[in-house]
Amino acid sequence: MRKYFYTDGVSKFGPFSKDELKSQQLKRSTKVWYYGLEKWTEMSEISDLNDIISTIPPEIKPLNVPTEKNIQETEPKPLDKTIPVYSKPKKSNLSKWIIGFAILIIISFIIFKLVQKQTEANLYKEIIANSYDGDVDFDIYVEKFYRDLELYGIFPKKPKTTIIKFSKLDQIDNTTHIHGLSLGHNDDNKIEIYINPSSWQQFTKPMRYFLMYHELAHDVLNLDDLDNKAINEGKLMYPEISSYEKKNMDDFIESFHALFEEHSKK
Amino acid sequence: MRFLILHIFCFLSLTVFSQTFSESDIKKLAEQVNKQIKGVDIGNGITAKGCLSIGRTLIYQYEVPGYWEAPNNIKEEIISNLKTAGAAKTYFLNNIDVDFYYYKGNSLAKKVSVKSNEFSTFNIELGEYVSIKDHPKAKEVNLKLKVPVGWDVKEGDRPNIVKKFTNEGNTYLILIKDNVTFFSRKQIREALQEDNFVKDFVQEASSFLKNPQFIDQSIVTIDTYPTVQFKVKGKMERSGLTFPIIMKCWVVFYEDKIIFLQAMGVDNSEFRALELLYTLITNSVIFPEQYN
Repeated sequence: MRKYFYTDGVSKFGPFSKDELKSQQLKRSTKVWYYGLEKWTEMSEISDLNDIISTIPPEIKPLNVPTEKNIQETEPKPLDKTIPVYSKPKKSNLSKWIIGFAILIIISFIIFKLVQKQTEANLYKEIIANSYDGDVDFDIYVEKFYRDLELYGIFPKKPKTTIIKFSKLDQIDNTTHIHGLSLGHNDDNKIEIYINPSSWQQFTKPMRYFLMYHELAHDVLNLDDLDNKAINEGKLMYPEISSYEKKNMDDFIESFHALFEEHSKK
Repeated sequence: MRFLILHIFCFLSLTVFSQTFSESDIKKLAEQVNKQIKGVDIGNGITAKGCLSIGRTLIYQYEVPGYWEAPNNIKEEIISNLKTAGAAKTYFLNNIDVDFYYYKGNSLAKKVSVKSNEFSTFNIELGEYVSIKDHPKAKEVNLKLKVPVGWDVKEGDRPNIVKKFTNEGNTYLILIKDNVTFFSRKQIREALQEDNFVKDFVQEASSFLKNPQFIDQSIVTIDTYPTVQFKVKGKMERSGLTFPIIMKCWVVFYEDKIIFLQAMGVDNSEFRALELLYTLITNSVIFPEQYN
């Protein structure tokens, strides 16, 4: 006697005799398989089961019918005789777990981004709150920076808005000592730089030029810091400017010339 | 005092001649003075015998009485008197040495020789440092240099002239201009190896002179900074008047600035006499920031 198996798309059930199959909760679209059948096939396509199909009312609305692909992937293995002859169909929770986990990740990511954005907004507010105009004319550095760029044939857009102020960056929460910050990075419509006054006071003249050209290179040329490696020591975009105590103006001059020359070739 | 009177007389004769004396001029001067002083009693039994010249040396001769003894400070007294009278400056500027011979009969009782440079009325001693730090026209350049003793320190009238030192119409000034960008000392030294670069630069710096004649130029170092030193003479026009000018200039390349240390005057022996002083001023320049 032919033994039938059917599947709900996730699990397989059977084997059943034709009579046993009648008593299962089947739909017209339920796919069945029996030994000799090449693949899982809808009941409606198996003429031998027409009498069962005629007893099943048509479906009112489409349900989550397993796809053919899924069915193929769950092709039943030959049955072991020790397997119980009958097992009740079980609802699988795996898909729910996967969906739930994905949602959890998405929600976590969104929350992380929101927190990050809020933190940045708070940091920005804190920098602004701590900023003030000192007696240093930072415009001189900007003018010289653009003058020197032009000599290398680099003509970046000169934004109308230029904000360069001191800000007590040491007082900002959860930060290590910062000498300067460029907030106009990747924003060609403004230059916005904040300089730590305690660094400025301690820095020598060459270090001040290193700092200002470094921040302007971030802001105007959108350049990133170099890696904090010995090979980059002495270069303008080296992040540890505080280690430049022994540098003189010649070091600064040759450093920015090298950077501008390299940038002009790009 | 008697020496003073005599030398005022001599000086009046000197001023008849042009400012640049040849040996021939000095000889003519000696002949003229000789006529004027020969046999003149200048007091205390001292009589002028005459005046002659050998090369660039004027020789005054006197007859002194037998009891006469030369004062210990006779040379200092002569120089002092000549400076007071104004003749010393002319001797100095015209490179004229002067000897004084004192005879007792046919015997030379005393000879006093004064070299032209001993008549110098210019004090080439430097005084205190003057700094231009934070000066509104200094363009952030911080340098200091010594002012000659007795010279005045004045503000420059023109836009790029930061300060000037003046004395009796002689001027040494500090002028600062922007360079096109920053240059390190190494970069400038490399550029200054190019003869054409130096030539063009010196010509540009002298462009205010008509028919400039370059006397000399060289590359030197002023307090570790590469410098072009040159001397040029030519003619300059001011308010319709044209006059001969000589200029000694040091052009210091400092970061993104060009500093001109410039001594300029009328092309005469006075300027040449002051060249040493100008060099001393320039050698006193210090850029303090490099030592911080």
